[in-house]
Amino acid sequence: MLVFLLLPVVAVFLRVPPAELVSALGSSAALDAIVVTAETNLIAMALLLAFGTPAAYWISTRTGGFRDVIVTLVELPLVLPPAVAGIGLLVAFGRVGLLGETVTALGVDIAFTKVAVILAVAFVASPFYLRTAIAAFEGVDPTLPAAARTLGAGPARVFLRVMLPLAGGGLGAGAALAFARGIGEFGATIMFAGSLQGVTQTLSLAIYEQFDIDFEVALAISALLIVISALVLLSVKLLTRWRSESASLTPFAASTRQPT
Amino acid sequence: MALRVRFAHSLRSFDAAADLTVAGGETLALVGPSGAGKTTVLRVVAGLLRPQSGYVAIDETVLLDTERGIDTLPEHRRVGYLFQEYALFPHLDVLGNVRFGARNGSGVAALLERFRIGHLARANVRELSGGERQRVALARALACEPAILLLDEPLSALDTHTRTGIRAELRELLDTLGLPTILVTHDFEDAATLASRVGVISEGSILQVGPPAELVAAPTDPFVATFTGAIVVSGQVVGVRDGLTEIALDGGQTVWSADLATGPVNVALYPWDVSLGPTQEADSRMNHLTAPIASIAPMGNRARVAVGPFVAEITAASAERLGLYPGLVVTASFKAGAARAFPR
Repeated sequence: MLVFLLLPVVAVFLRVPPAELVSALGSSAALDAIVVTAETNLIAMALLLAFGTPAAYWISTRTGGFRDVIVTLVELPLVLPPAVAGIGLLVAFGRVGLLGETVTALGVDIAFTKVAVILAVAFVASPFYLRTAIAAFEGVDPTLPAAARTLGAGPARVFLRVMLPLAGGGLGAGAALAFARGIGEFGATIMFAGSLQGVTQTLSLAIYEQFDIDFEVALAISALLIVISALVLLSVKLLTRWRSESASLTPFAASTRQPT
Repeated sequence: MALRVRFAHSLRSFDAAADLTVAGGETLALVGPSGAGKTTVLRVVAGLLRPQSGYVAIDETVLLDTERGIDTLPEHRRVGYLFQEYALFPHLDVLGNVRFGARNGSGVAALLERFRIGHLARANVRELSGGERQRVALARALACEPAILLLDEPLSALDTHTRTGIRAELRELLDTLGLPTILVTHDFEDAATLASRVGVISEGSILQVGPPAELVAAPTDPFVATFTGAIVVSGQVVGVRDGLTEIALDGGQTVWSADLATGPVNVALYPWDVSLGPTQEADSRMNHLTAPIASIAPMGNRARVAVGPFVAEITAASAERLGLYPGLVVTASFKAGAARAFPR
């Protein structure tokens, strides 16, 4: 089983010598894709952190059936086929879409632009961040924010000084997972943003296109994505470990020191 | 300064209610088993739980009045709350914790010194001992210059051997502060040491409030009597002779009580009021109950011996001297005044 899982990963690196892989990354298609991917994913992640973090905190403070409904809605993009997400985004924000007229009236056209890539990435990656973030906020001992309130801290200060630092590890892990998903985004992007080199062609889309043109470039980009994925996985593990160490204050912690 | 709290609130398994006044400098202890609704009272006072109906005021300042729609946010109530297990912020060091809500930054250093945690200012709160953590939590609460103090099980997170010393220290602190204080504990001894008045809570209701000595001398409820350490047995008053009430216990025995009562009663008897001997002493004001020993439980230098429906607590030395063993028939003796009778 392990061999089965590892073989495709190893094969990518063994097909051509490493030096050729690195030089293949220097091709214009690969370089353009790296820039587009970095640009769109960084903006998507910034938006996700800015809007997703308060949203996750808000959801974590809800209880009962209402919370379950909200969480289900948040998780929907997780199970949605990417092609469906792409179609959905197109009919929502595209020229003839639900919000199309409003968006066109504002003088912008979203579909097949970098904005479309950002929206597609944010849409498919958001559940990865939100789920982990909600769990991270819920994992904080509820007496800690309560204690902060009795110490004179208002809700904003409780969020910034207590909840954010204590949920930090979990938020980081969620962000890493969302980032990994965003980098690998393919289906929704190709439907909603197309695959224009230098504009909307991300690394995953470039692999698909170079597959027919220059297989070595496709291999090189694949190798790059494997390295990025491995790094993300490693950082998630480290962040999760840090979180479990920092979030809980166990009574009778491993200390036998007596009061002096 | 005085704290006034009155509320009613439905919890999952019972309705909690309280009507209490705590004067400045007074410590009121709420005792009861876990899950009795003790912490609910503190949460209502602190504003962490909004009761279905209620009123909370410190002197003339009304913090909660559900009828008039007043509900001051917890951060504006000036309540010093010591949480169970202390709820220190694990991501902040000792100084960061104490400074978190400090109204006056320059007072923090003095507080650290006062609680003898100055040398721990940069220490990780997870590496402190239970006693140190308690002092950090107290310093943190007092840095906010609270008008009242709420202590939730302040001693339960401590080792038994450091507990007595820390209890005396806490008593001294409460006396010095002079703030109206509500203390929650499941231990009657802690309550009796720290508080001038004790309220016994069971299933959300306060059964009896009074000085600890009064609860011991005149319990009005079998739960209160049991909680203060008495063995409670139910019986029926048969008659009165020579100023003593004759009570037929449900188990068949007869005891005499100095309390006047009629009808169905509960008889509360503290184990330390019962002595054991092989023979009966000729004293009409004494109760004598001859029965085989059911069990012997040694407790340090004392032993608890179950005889019939009652328990005698005697020194380990006299248990040794009497040569007690389960099954041995002995006579348990106690004064009529020790058998407290109150209506069922």
